[in-house]
Amino acid sequence: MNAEKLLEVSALCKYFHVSGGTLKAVDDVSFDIFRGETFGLVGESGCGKSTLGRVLMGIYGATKGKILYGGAELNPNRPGARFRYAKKAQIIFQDPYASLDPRMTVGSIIAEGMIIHGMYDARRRTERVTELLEMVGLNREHANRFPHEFSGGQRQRIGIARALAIEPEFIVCDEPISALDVSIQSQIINLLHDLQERLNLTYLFIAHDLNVVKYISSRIGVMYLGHLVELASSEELYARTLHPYSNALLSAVPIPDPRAEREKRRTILTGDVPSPIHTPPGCPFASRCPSACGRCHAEKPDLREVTPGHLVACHLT
Amino acid sequence: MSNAKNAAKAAFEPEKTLPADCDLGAEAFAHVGPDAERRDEIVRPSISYWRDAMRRLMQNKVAVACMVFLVVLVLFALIVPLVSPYTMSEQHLTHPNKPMFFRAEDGHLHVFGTDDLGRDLFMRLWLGTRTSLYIAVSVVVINLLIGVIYGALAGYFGGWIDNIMMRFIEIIIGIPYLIIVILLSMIMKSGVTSLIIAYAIVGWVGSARLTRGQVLSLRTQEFIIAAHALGSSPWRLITRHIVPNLLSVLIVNLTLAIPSAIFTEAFLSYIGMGVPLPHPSLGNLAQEGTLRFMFYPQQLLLPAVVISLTMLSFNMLGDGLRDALDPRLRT
Ligand SMILES: Nc1ncnc2c1ncn2[C@@H]1O[C@H](COP(=O)(O)OP(=O)(O)O)[C@@H](O)[C@H]1O
Ligand code: SF4
Ligand SMILES: [Mg+2]
Repeated sequence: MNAEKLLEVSALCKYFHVSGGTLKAVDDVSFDIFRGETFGLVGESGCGKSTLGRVLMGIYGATKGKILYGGAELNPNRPGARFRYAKKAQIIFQDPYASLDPRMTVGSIIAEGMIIHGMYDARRRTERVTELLEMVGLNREHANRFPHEFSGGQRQRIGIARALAIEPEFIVCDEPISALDVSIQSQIINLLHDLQERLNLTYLFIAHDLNVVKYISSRIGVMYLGHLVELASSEELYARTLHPYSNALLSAVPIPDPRAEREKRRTILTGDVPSPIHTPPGCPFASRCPSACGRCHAEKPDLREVTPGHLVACHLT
Repeated sequence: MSNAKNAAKAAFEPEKTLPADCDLGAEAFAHVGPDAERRDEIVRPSISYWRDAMRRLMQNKVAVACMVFLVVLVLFALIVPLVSPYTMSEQHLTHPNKPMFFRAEDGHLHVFGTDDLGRDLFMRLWLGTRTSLYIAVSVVVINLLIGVIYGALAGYFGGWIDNIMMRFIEIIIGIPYLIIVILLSMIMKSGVTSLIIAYAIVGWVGSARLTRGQVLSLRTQEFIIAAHALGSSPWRLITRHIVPNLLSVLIVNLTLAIPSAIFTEAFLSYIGMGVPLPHPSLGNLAQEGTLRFMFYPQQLLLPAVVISLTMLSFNMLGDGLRDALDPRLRT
């Protein structure tokens, strides 16, 4: 893997103004994504993963912070910028039922991006739709059907074809397999993996459990309550987990050996996730952390590089 | 055909079961589905959503029958009053309350007979149908226009704007329709226009709520976000995604709102709050008919049948449209 930075995120914040106050969905997050890699993003549901993915996509404007894409600053509020950026970055959604317009045929769903970006003439587009359908493991008969005629896995393939249609280089995969049957999950993972190699894609792969991310990612970021709490290469994170929250996530991953699984020390978290509207002053994880001390409740730990390439936000390390 | 039947029968006859030593290996099973070379032939023709919906509507015999009935009804309502030799208030006092197909000595033919003042009921019935349809359609279109704009704004902006707009709707819902009609009839000359205005004041809230709900849920739907992510302009987003998804709901709503408007008009005219006499409407024709129902039942039955059949047709057409516009019910 070469180390060309495709995406540089620094001190990114995304706040929503809701009736109870300001909801800090993403709070002061910084990391880089290298070209050609898969960056895994994990964290429990509601911690701000989708929001972060959508800010990186330019769907939501950032409240604070900076995003550099290929060295140029991304500002979706500038006219035309969002449109040009859409050609480079695409997204695959979690819910294969909600993410396809029920009133459009599969062919027109896939062709839409090409139409929007004025790619090819009508005949070539039809050919491209067939190529794309075959690329994601469907076939040309499917182009004239409606989304409801497909299974969840097939719909997810349609969503992938739609994203690939405009030949992007960066794809945000927002929990693309969470809503699928276990037997289908690996098919989609393999498909994404093959496509990455064939088309030289860069992924931000979002998931809520580490199990899935481990297989596909080169580096992993762990998110908690809008914060990035640990960031390391895949192997490093498994070999030397530093943050107590990552530990808890890892201990929830089953080991495929019954004896080891039985003897494994499981960290079961107690306590509640604080509301993202009223964030605590100290470490965001303090209310559930098994090793929390007085300092944790008072002072917020910064994300520090502990060993080269391994960053963690915890007072204990 | 009969071969297949015999084969099916044979399968259920116990003495003809397979011998015990019958061995079916994998090679006994061949793929008999359409083969790859024939794929092109079985590809469904490429069609747009609206064409597909139209095709499915046309396949629905009940809906087509309703449409034909409604077209005939509208044509009668438009043409009969124009070509009739009588006017709506022309009285023939020599032959009142005559039965259907009555021909007077002076040569007058009254297809539906006459009423107690000797007015031609054929003319009055179709003119009444025209009035009732006119009121119903204008009321529904006005309500839909106000409701869609109001609801779309509330749903689009959300937040406190939506909150205030919805509270306002709740206030309007709290006012009984009859009170508005009565109040309006005090300040305005009672008639078709005041009836439409009275209905429009309260009637739009239904479509406003419907539209708001749809826009609110569509706005956060992932397929809308996906289209946005593809770089769709707001115009394309609205015309290609939001409107088609909204329109199908609204078309059905429109079709189903017409019969209820027809009924409301009939009810108001029946109790004397609607279209003023001598102008006929289906409601006041039925009201006059009830007075003489014991002796001349056709005077009530004719408008009653037209009201019922019209309402029924609109309702069944609405059902047909709902099925046709929902691709999930596609066959
Ligand atoms: N459009 C929005 N408006 C207000 N709050 C939002 C919006 N989108 C997400 N949130 C809130 O932001 C937080 C993070 O949400 P999300 O990014 O979807 O989490 P995840 O994808 O990790 O499950 C949640 O508390 C959610 O309620
Ligand atoms: S800083 Fe304290 S509370 Fe936060 S994770 Fe580390 S030990 Fe736990
Ligand atoms: Mg999510």
